[in-house]
Parts: sequence; C-alpha cells; structure tokens
Amino acid sequence: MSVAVETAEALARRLSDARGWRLVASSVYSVDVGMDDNKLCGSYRPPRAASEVTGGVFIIWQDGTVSRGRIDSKTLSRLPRDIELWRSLAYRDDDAAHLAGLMPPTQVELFDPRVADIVTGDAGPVFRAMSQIAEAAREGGADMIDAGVGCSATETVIATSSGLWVKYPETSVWCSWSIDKTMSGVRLGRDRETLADLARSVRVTGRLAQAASVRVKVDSGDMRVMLTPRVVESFIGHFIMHNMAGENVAEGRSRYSLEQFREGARVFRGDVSLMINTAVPMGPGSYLCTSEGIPSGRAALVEGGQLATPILNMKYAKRCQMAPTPVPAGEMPPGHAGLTLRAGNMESWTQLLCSADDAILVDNVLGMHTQDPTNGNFSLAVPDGIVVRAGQFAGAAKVVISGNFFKILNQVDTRFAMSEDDPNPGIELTCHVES
Amino acid sequence: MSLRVGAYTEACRAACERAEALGVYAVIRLQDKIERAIGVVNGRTDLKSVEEVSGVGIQVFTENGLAGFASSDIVTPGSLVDLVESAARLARESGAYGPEPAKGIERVRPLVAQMERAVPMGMDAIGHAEEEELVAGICKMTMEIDSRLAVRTFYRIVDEEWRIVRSDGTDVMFSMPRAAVMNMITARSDGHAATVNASLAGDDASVVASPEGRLRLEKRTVKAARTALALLGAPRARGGSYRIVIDYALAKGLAHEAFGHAAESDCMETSILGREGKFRAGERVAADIVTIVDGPLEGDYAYQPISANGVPRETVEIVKNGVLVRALADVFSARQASVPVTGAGRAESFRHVPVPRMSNIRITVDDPLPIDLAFEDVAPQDVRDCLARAGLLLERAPVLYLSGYKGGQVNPAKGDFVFNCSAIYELTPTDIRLCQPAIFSGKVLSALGSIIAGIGRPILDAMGTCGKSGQRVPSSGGGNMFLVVDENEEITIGGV
Repeated sequence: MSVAVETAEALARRLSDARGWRLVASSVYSVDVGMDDNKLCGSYRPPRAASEVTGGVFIIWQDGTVSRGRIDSKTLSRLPRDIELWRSLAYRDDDAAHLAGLMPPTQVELFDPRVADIVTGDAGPVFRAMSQIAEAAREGGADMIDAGVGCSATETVIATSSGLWVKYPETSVWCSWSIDKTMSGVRLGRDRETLADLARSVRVTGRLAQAASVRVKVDSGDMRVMLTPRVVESFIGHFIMHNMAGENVAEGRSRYSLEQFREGARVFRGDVSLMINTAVPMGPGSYLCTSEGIPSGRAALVEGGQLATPILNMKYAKRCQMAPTPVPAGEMPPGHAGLTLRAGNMESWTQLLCSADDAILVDNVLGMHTQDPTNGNFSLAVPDGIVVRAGQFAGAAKVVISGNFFKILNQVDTRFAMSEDDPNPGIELTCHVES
Repeated sequence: MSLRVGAYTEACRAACERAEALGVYAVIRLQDKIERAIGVVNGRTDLKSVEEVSGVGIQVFTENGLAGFASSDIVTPGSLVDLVESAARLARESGAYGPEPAKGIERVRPLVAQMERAVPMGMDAIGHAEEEELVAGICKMTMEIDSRLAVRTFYRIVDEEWRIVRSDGTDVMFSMPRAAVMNMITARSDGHAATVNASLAGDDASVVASPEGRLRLEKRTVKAARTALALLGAPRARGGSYRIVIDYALAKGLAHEAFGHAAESDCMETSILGREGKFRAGERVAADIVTIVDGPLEGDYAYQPISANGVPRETVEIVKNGVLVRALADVFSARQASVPVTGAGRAESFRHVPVPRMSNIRITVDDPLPIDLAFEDVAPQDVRDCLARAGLLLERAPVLYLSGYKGGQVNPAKGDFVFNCSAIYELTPTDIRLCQPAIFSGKVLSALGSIIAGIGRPILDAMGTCGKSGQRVPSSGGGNMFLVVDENEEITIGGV
C-alpha cells in the first residue's frame, strides 16, 4: 500500500466526527534529465529522481465552518496535530461548505506500465529520448539546444465522506526543446510512444529557427499574422481561461458577467466554440474525477459563439446556481488539459501556411503574462516574427503585435487551422504590427 | 539551536557517510517552510490555509564530475541514504550519454554558520482571527472606493528555513522570513474592464498589521483603484519610440529582467554580457551616472543571506558608474565565466537544483532630481513638473510616464526584453492624458545606455517572483523613485 493510500485511510478514520470531508492524495515518483546550452546534465540539469506525497484535504466541521489542509509524507505521522492545526484556521464559506453526492467516476485510461518501469527502474529511455532530440536539432543546423525529458508514475486516491473512494494509477511523459534560444516545442503524453519519433517534431522547430536566423525588414501597419498552435495555447491560457473561470465570473473579475452566461450572450463568431473534455483516453490532462468527486467528462463553455457555462467547481456552481463542470488540470497548456477552441470549416495548418502571403508567423511571444486578461488587449513583443511570402519563409524580424484577442475571435476574416500534433488550432488574423 | 532544520543532523550525517562510502561528493539541501495564506474576494474570505513543507534534495558529484540529484519529502536517515544512492546511480548512468562534467563545488571553502533572522511580527505575532479581519478590512476598504470595483486581496506570510550540508564539512542554516499583501483591483463598466494591482512586501506581518504598513498600502490601493477606473475609457498610446519615465517598480523590472539575468554566470556563453563565455568586465554599458547593485537586504521580501550551495551571498556591484564590474556567480559556473563566486545560487524548493539568480536588485543614478513627496503621494503632474524644471519635457513629442509594474520577460541571449505597466500618461507642457498600458520592449543595452536622469531617492521594495528555469523564487528591488530613459529607436512602446 502506498503512503498516499495509507494517509487517506487514516484521515478518513480521523475525520469521522466532521460534518463532511473530501481529500486527494498522490504518491508521485518521477525521473527527468535536461540539457542547457548544448550541455547534457552538468551542474544545472543533472538527472533527477524525485518521490513525494502531495495532496489536500477539505473539511466541513459540525459548526459549518471549513478548513483546507495540505497532505504530504509526514501527514500520517502527525495526524492529530495536523487536524488541530487545520481546525484552528477554520473559516466560514457557506457556498463551499457542501460535498458532491456519490457519483461513479468516469473510466479513463491513464496508465502505461512501460512508463512506470522507466520511473522505477531503467531511466535509459529518458536519456535516449534526450539524445534523439539533440541529434535531430543538430542535424537541422541548431547551434544551441536546450531540452528536457521526463516521466512520472503516480498513485492517486480521491475520497469523500459521501462514500467516494477512487484509487488509480497514472503515468505522464513530457519532452520539451528549444533551438537557438528562439523557437521551441513540447510534447506531452502518458504512454511510452510519447518518446517515439521526436526527431520529426524537432525538425519542425528547427525549420522555424533556421528561418529566424535570416533577418529581414518589415513595415509597420495592420497586416496578417499567423499564430502557431503553440502561441494560440498561450492566448487561450491567458485570456480565455481567466475570463471563463467560475470564481472570476462570480466575483466580477471576468469580462463576462453571470447574466451573460445565463442569457447565452454572443461573444465569439457564430461558428466558434470552446469545449472542455477531461476524459480523453491517455490525455495528458485527463482524470477520473475532480478532487471534489465530479466525474470527468465533456462540457461546452462557448457554443455557436455564445457563452454556455463558466468553468465551475462545486463552490462556484452553487454560487452561480449552475451545474459543476469538469475542471482543466493545472500546470500544462490548456489544450493538453482538455480545453479546445474550434471553428467551422477549419483548414489544415500546413495548407494555411502554404497559402500565406505577406504574413508574419508568430511562434514565440515575450510578455504574455504581463497582459491584462480582462480586456483582451494584447501588446506583445515577437523577437522572431517569421515573414511568410508566397508560402515560403523569407526571414525574420523583431516586431510588436497588438490588438484585442476577443475582437479577433469575432472577426469574419480570422481563419483557424489544425495541425496533427496540437490540440488547439493555429489562427490567422489581422492585427497591428509595429516593427 | 532554534531553527527547525537543526533537527536533521543525524540524517545529514548518515547521508554524508553513505556518500563517502560510494565515492561521491554530496550537497544536501534541507528546506522547512511554513506558509499561511488568506484570500478575501469582494469582502468574503475565500481561502485560509497553512502549509508546512519540508524535504530534502541531494546533489552528488562523482570523481570525474558526473552529477545526479534526488529529492524526497521524507527526511529521515534512511531516506537520505536512499537519496544519495539514487542520485549516485543516476549520475553514473548519465556517463554513457556524454554529459557535461560538473565542476567547482570542490573549490569552495567549508563553512559552518547559522543565520537566524528574527522579525518583530513573525508567524505567530497576531492571531488567526485578527489576521483574517485585517485582510478582509483591506479588501472592504478597496471596494468602498467605487461600486464598479471587484477586489481580491491576498496575504501570505512565510517562515522558511534552509540547511545546506556538504561533504567537505560545510553545515549552514539560515532563515528567510517574508510577507506580502496584494490587492488585485478590477474595474468593470459598459463592457470595458481594467485590472490594476497594489502591493506591499516585507519580512513580517507589519505589511498588514502596522499603522505604517496599512497607510502605505491604503495610499497605493486608492491610487491603483482610481487608475483602474480611469482606464475604463482611456485611449491607447500611439506605438513608437519616446522619451519615457518609469517608476521604481518598473526600474526594478528593467534591472531584473533586462539586465540582471544577463549578468548571471550560468548563461555567459550566450548572454549579451558575455564574450566567448567570459563576462565582459570593464566594458561600458551605461552612462557614468548609472550603478546597478544586487544583494540581500535585511527586512526585504527576497532576503537570502547564504546561497543554496552553502556560500555566503555577497552584495555585488554589477555596474559601477556605467561600467560592468562583476557578475552574479555561483560555484559551478564562476570559473568558466572568469568571475569570482558571489554566492548567487538559489533554489525554489528542495526539489530544485539551484541556479545563479538575483535577490534584491537596484538601479540608481547619481545626483537625482529632487522631489519632496512620498512615492504614494506623487501624481502625474508632479512628475511632469519635475521634468519641466529640469528641462526634460519635450515640445515636439510627449514624454510617456509608465506607472506600475505588471511583469516582464527577457531573452538574455538576444538582449530582448519586454515589460508591461499598469498605465501610461502622456505628458506634454500643456496636457496630461491617461492611456491604456502597453508593452515596453527593446534591447537591454540600448535601454541602459539611454538612462539620462533619476528623480527622488531610491526605493527598494518592489516585489516580484523570478521564474528562471521554471523555478519561482521571491525577488525584489527598485531604483530612484523615477528614472528618465531617453528616446531610442531600439526601445518601443507597443500599441496602435
């Protein structure tokens, strides 16, 4: 039995006097290796192994107050004291002080035993994947390579006083690379195949980096800009996630009000939708149920350009008087967490690139986190905007792009295109470019 | 011995003995952190939590420089022995793939020290209920400014301790207390929205509990709230190059993002401040009046007296009178960069491998223009008047006053930086116009070389979080109350 399971069992026993509780506890093991400035491992990126118990507990006391606590490897050995500590910080939050009824978790495949073997035994595949990345980058002409590859194996327990007790294993694999400090790529997955054929993906990045090595001049003005799927991910993560988060909607910190959701206000172009699906088999951000016991699944957040529902956990579902939704997993790009933007008549990304003329291709922006997410305005530096002429890369220029992301999702000439490697589309749009 | 990390002596001894038996050099990093947080949204408590985190990371080095690292949140003699074995196994396994040798740790001198920083208003200075009341009070006070405001107030107090033990007998312990309060203020009306933050940081609960702290925060909050409201209908500044004025928080951003990272020894092979892997000491990078210093300050939010490798952290003059002097260097890359070790290694947690990085960085200019107001009381017209008196206001074009720091990013290899502000004021001899924030981007050396004046005394409490190498550590700094940066075609205000 893992420490997480033991801790969960002990907590469940100790909290029998509380009005209710829910908890999540995970035993996590991981291994990773990195490369900085062409140097494999070294002082700053040595191969690493880590083991840890992480999780949290939410308790509703008999007087209706609530407490939140953190679970780690030591929780088990200091349980009476920890519970007292959590009790001492109890506070009143009536909308949060309730639990989901017992619902069967969604059965989603999340585990590859071959990845678990890498974590607990032979780390060779991680080193070899790193070698693949470095070799492919060098073959593509890279001068400077930064990269990382890692795997983890986790056993998680989610339990509530309503009777939920879910225990499941999951594995994760991540690979990232950056070429010449300009262009980068990432691959996330859960199975051993995530480490396969990395060279193909690295070559795509390499071609962009090569294009960026030739500098050209661009005039300022309004022009066509192509955001790669990777950059669209960062736009979704910054502008859309903030404004769709239930807590921000309920508290007036989103650009959208609760009334707009209730009325189904039109906010995007009529063919644009935003879905969340956290039950994709082997999806990097998939899970069986949320830490609150809400089964994993699919929900439309924006459908036909109209607001449908914010992302709602139990507390804000109650406050908004709407149904709770699946919640995207944190610490990964939104598309990998199951949040996807779609439009009607989406083209292929390759086709869109080939047909582009006098456009700037943007694969990397500086300063996204500094933008105000509520108004949608962006003003972002692009150190290596790639000029595309007649479908060909003509070189790169440093530019600043500016506009309003929400207006762009409403404009008729905004085009969406899917690539086979990315969960979200690339977007071609018109915005201001300052050179 | 009063530090909590003092309790792990036996575990450290066991790890060192195992390392010796395996023929590896070990650096053991123990972290013990207690963090309490309170979040209040629109007057209602949204979060109250306490986290006690402790764990250990062990980095080992074989005789031929192979490195490995293992971490766990279990700190027992048995666990540490396992970690040494795991790290040593990984280090040796890496040998088959041509790794870069890790060198330098064997050259630093052993150190035994304990630096406990006592603060007047630490974790237990005020009760939980009072603490919650204080934070809720700040939130409610902000909401009362205008009904169009939504407010999230977040307060955090941290008592963090580290212990670094090395195979050479080094055994150092230190504490890093800190606290911060932040008001995130969103104004919304008629389909427009704007968010402006106000914050105050220090080393203890006085940021919310002392009359001085509350007054400063209140003044900052009122200013931020009024700015957010005014921004609702504000136009955008026209993009281009301008003479600009930045406040001390933006100056910290400039020093940290645009310059400090480029002065870190681990990136000297690609940094704009390096040539053939060596730090360009002795070269002029700014006007005579400019000095940039980094180092720990007592009472500061980002205080760290000893590095995560067990080396005392020095206060470093990176630029003195416009000339590059010293880099921020740790034991692993100092020699390669041809610079002395300054104890710059920092790590977010026991799970992370330390890298050279800043603590409190400040950029100051000689003979600043005087201003007789506290920063919180300075209005845009005061800035304009000060510029006018010094003959720095332009007739042909507005001077842009950028107020409030909202984060930044830099590519030290290319010398590109960006950062964003909360608001822009166009200052002309006859008018002051508030505009939407826009990104301030450019080339590091161009920005530094364009600093022509400072206004007011230095203020060093601008708080931030540094995200280098995917690790989040507290950072802070500042500069003169305002810096004046001359128009330069390589420095652009984005916008339409």
